[in-house]
Amino acid sequence: MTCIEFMELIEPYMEDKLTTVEREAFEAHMETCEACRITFQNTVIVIEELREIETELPTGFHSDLMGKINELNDEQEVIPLTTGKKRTKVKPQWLAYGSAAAIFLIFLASGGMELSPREMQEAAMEPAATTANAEMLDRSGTREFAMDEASPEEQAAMAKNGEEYAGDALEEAPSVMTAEAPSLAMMALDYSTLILEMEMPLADGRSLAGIQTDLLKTLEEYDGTFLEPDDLSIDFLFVLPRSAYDLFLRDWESMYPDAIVNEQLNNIDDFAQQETAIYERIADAKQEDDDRLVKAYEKELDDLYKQIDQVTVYLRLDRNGKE
Amino acid sequence: MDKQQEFELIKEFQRGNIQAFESLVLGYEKSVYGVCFRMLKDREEAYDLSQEVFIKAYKGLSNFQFQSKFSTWVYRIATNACLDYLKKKRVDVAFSLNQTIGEDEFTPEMADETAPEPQAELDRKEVQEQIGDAIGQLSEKYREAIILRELEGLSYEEIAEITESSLGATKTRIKRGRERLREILEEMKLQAAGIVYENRKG
Repeated sequence: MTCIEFMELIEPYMEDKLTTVEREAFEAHMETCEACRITFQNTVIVIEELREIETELPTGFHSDLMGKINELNDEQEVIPLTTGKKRTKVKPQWLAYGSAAAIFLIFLASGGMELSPREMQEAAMEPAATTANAEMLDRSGTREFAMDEASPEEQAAMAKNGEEYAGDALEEAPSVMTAEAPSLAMMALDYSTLILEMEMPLADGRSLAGIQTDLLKTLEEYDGTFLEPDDLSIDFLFVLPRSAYDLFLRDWESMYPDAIVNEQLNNIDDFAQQETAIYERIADAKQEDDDRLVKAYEKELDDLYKQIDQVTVYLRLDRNGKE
Repeated sequence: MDKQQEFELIKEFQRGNIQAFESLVLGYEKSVYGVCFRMLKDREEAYDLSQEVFIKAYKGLSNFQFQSKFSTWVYRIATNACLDYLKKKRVDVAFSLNQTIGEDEFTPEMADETAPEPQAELDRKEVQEQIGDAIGQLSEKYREAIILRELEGLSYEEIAEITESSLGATKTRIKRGRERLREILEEMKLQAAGIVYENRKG
């Protein structure tokens, strides 16, 4: 038995999973090879020590937690878009433009990244999000539908029902809001997990999963490292052999614009948190009847959504908003 | 608390009895905090994050579908929260560590450093501290696997479910995590616990 083989058998040996023959060979090797014996002993010690570790729960943890939970129950809940459930009186302008799924469909239908974020917002401002979806699916490949307005009959009907036609006024959100519409911020939160699960089509017909497969093969050939796709989280990139990492990075960067590769992607979950924080401030300001402050925060929210625009245009997410 | 009791409590909660939540989580607070602390390496951050974990659990429990064990569900919220948090913080210790003690960079020259001096016996606490440090030096997926396996005592299957990975990937991570830990501790010359500094090239 070589030392390398010995190393591979340490785990199963400790779990009693070796055959009699293997076990005897393992123990024999240990007897003659001091380096391996020490390695084995050290491994056992490490594991034993690990299992001895106790972490104390800080005092007050439980009462602190219960306090927060009781607060949650008491106060009027401002549940932000990140849970996609209830709404406060503040209307998020983003959602008002139509469900995020609709925006995604427009994006696809436009054949890629041809629509600017503003155009996409305008396109999504259909009065009835669901019929708009169906139309978009039928007319994929053309840009014209994106600029459709409601027909005069539809407008009249809506006026009768007291609904606003929101075709022109970007500031006035339609009063009907899809309560279940998933927020793009929420979807963006899961981007880093999604990107590994979905086979997202990239330029030149390559998919991210395809790049991953190439990378795994490269690693196997390069240094005999066998990895599962699961191992390819972004963090894991940092423990790859240098050349494989470079290969991956080169492919990755060529497929995505800088906005993705740099800070912005890592700040996506910051967006969701900022969104929440601004909502809470708006609610507070409204309670205090401070209109000036409310307007200031709404502007902040608007700017935040513009930022999100920039990033999410490239993300091509398709989620139903489930956790 | 057995599974039946947990089931009852969750049902109670879903029926609107908010108090049921408290009994449910009492049993998990130490574990969740422990996982967060070992992943984040900072007590304060771990405190805040683990509180958040339970609040997420509180908000999500009404939709709990019993498709997994409650414990699995809670652990998953915790590990996901930790990984997200770390991603944000971009603590890539593994990267900088591998530049000095990379598996493919462990050369005989490094091993020829002066032999470790005999040390007085470190006491238990110091040993644990060093092991804690070593855990913190693992890359995140390995760290997660080791924490769930050796600190929380979970089975491979449970860990695979929590981390939403295959059984094979889970076993590999635990195995490699242990190997890295051993290497790190050997490098730290942790003699007192019996670990011998070993200039092995494998």
